[in-house]
Amino acid sequence: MVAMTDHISGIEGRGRYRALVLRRLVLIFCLIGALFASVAVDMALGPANYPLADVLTALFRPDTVSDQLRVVIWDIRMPIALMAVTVGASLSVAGAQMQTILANPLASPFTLGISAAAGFGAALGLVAGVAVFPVAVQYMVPINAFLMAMLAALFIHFASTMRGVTVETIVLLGIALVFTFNAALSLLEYLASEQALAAVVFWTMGSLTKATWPKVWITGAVLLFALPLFARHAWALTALRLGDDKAASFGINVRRLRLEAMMTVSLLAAIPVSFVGTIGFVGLVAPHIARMLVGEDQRFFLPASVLCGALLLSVTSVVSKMLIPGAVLPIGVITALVGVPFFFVLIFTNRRRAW
Amino acid sequence: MVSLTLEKVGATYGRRTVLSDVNTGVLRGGGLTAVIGPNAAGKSTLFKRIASLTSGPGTVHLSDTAKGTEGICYMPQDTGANAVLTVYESVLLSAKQGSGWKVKDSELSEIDRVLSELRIADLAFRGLGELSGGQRQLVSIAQALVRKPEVLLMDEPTSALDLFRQIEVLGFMKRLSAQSGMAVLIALHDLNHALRYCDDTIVIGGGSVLASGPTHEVITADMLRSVYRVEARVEACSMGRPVVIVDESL
Repeated sequence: MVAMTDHISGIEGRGRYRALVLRRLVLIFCLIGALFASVAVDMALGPANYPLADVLTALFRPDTVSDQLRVVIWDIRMPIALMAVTVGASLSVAGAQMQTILANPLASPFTLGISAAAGFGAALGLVAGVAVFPVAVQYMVPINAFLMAMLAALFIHFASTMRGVTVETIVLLGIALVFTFNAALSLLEYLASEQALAAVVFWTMGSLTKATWPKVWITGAVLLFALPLFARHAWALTALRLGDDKAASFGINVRRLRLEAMMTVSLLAAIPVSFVGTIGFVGLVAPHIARMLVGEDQRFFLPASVLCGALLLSVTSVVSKMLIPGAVLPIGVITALVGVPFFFVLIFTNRRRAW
Repeated sequence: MVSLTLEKVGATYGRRTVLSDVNTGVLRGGGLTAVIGPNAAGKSTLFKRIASLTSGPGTVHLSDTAKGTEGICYMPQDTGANAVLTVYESVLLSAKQGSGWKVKDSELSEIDRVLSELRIADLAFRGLGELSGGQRQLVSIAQALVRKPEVLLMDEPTSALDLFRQIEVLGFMKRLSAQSGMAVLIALHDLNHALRYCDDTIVIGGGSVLASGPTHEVITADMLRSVYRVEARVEACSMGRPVVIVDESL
């Protein structure tokens, strides 16, 4: 063995690394536990005040409870609670991967204009009945939202690959997209009928109350489609954080990886937004919370992002039901109010680097 | 022992040609080859072209290789300082590319070995963002070595290191290369390091090869005048080693 000098340090890294992995796994299992607890509380809360024991019975032995209780738990509360989980997870993973592939801590579907583009696409369908791509009427809104989101994502992607375009330029382009699509959305709102305007306002406030089982399945399916793709590239995506040259030197086709990831991210960001409206905070902050907890090795960062996003939106769903008894406040409004104090606590108490 | 030959190698960025008609003799493993030249001469581009990270005409011939082009490893000038990763994780990352999630004990032992060899085991669980430029350069070398390359292309690996570490790293690479048969090409600005550690030297300027051959034949007063525009002498020091003494710029 050749060494730089005769002295070789006796520090054993293998054991310390195994301990680090164990600590991260424990953190991830804690997040899973917290998420289950939050979802249970979310399902127990609602205008109809059922005791927790009845809710649990309805969950695990639905044939033994009244039809009314079964319908309330299974057809109203559970879709809302699970929609919070799938939407939160989707937006968080989308934000995490945008921050990774653009090497930008400010990147998220919201700050780079992808959510705004999706919202505008949906509003085009809701207000003007315009389909960006000719499809059946019932699919027009989500397809519009997805295509507009993908256009915005592609624009950001190609801009980021141009010579001389810096990280700051990308953020500025994203902000320009947000303003452009918001202005176009306002114009549509101005021209909209009363009914269409109500539907568009639903978008801009973000709400889980119209969650249904098909929407939960679709959002969950998109998430289940995206996660294995990201998981397959876990080492490569982590390497992107070392810079393009370094990642390429590891044998990674950086351009193709970035394009694939961006396509998947646009799908992840667009579908939830098309169902629940604009929810801005989760995609930006949940990945940072995950990063502070487990670092940026995607084998841990990816599941932690899923769980942090899901937990943040699930807790927000709980809070939105508790703030004013009997009323469910729009979740898009509450998300930041719940998340910001928690995020501040993490930033000020965590001595490790957050980016 | 691996050997490398470049035949009419060029590189292009879009329509712009940044490197053309680079030919070399047979560059054999077991020693260091310096790649020198002024700033923006095309040294990094040559490395990227050899590692197939950029496109261009010509052929890179490899012989007596077990891994083929997979065995070529390019080590860029710096490694990302913003990543929220420990040194250990960043080296593991290099070793695990293209493989599964599970990390074997033997892979971790290899990382321990490389970090110990480079005497940075004490940095293993520090974040990349906490390191100095020089420490990051050593981590970058660890990331390259853990891949067990047959041809290692090091882009200014000592630029941020203090004098002690420069000597230590170059001496280590020379011994490692001799022991493993690895071919190591090193972009250097310090010509005295090239004279002391490198058997062969390639001079790049304006995107083409200006001179190549045994180091003591390539680094001459004439070459320094024409390539670097300095008036300089190459003389033997008190220990008999050749050194470059710069008198003035032209």
